[in-house]
Amino acid sequence: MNPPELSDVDALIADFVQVVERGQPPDPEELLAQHPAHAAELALFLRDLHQFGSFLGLSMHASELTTDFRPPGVPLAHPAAETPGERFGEYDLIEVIGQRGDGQGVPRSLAGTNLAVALRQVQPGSLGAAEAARRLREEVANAAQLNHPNLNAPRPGTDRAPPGYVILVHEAFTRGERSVPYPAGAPGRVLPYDR
Amino acid sequence: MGALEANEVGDHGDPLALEWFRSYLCALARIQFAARPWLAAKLDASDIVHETLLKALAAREQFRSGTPAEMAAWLRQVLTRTLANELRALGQQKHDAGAERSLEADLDASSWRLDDWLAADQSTPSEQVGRHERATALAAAVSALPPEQQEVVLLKHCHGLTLAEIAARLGRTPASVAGLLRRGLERLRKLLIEDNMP
Repeated sequence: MNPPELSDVDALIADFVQVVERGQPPDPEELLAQHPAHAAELALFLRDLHQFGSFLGLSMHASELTTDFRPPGVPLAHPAAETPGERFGEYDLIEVIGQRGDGQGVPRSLAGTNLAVALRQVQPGSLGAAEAARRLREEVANAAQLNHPNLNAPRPGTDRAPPGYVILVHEAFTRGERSVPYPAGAPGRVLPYDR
Repeated sequence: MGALEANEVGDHGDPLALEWFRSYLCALARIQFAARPWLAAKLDASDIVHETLLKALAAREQFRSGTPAEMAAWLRQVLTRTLANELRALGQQKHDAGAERSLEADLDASSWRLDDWLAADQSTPSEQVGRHERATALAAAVSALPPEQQEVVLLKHCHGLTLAEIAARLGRTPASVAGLLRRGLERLRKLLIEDNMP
């Protein structure tokens, strides 16, 4: 088999995709204008990216969530303090774990199921959504030393977030167990789920 | 999940409500099978989904109430456990929690992106009736990609790797990976739209 055909177009596309991955606002029109000799091929790729970008996690609108719009030196605002027992969207708050620069961490139960979740509200701009998800996943696994077969990766829950926030949740399916391991500060700590 | 609107399914204990998710689960399973060719050689995605729906029906008391999106999330959990059980039955004598977490993470990431893709549908409501069938068609189209293009698309879709990370993993340059991605998306378009792949 012949090696894949490499072209200037592919180098341009590589640069463009990496801009999108960094969460920077891409400018397709500028790309086409700067490279008129490849405009037709680039336009086809941009059309395909528009069609399938969300399937690949390469939304060209991702910058709305991942770009830091804060002026230098301006700290993040935090959502209003919540109290255990409070209902928040589809979640029941169990306990506030802590509040740090990149958001507020709380364990919650997912209403209507026996799912328990570790949840973090992340203000857009504090971290890229993908990076925040990766960090939450690592923190959950490391802090609680979890080895739970039903542990899921975090997922963004943007539909229930307060204005300006992205919710990341880490689900552990209890399957009828009475307790669920949680990243509650101390390694290996188990947070009772008996509410 | 944007692709699943409220009131689209009825009583969650109703087998017909579960059946409504079959195409969606098939799409997720087929994408995972495409990412794991050795698995596809031994198992059939539609059989796994059928078993998943039977288990869900038997265990429907676990899902007390909720929206269709929550039901889809629960069904993904059942699908993951069904797949994990099959993995063990295929000769993995030891419980491999790491492999199962990887499977779960891949399924989750895959489902978010598939949902995003379906939610981004610009068609009219009447044209959106077959959204889950579109997911199935997309999964079939991905499975039909040439291997190198498919690998790049799935590393992006399932694992969320960056172009640089994919390049490092495959021992290619980012431009080479971008070329595979470009041709992969072009092929997907032709399969799904121009060839009207069912």
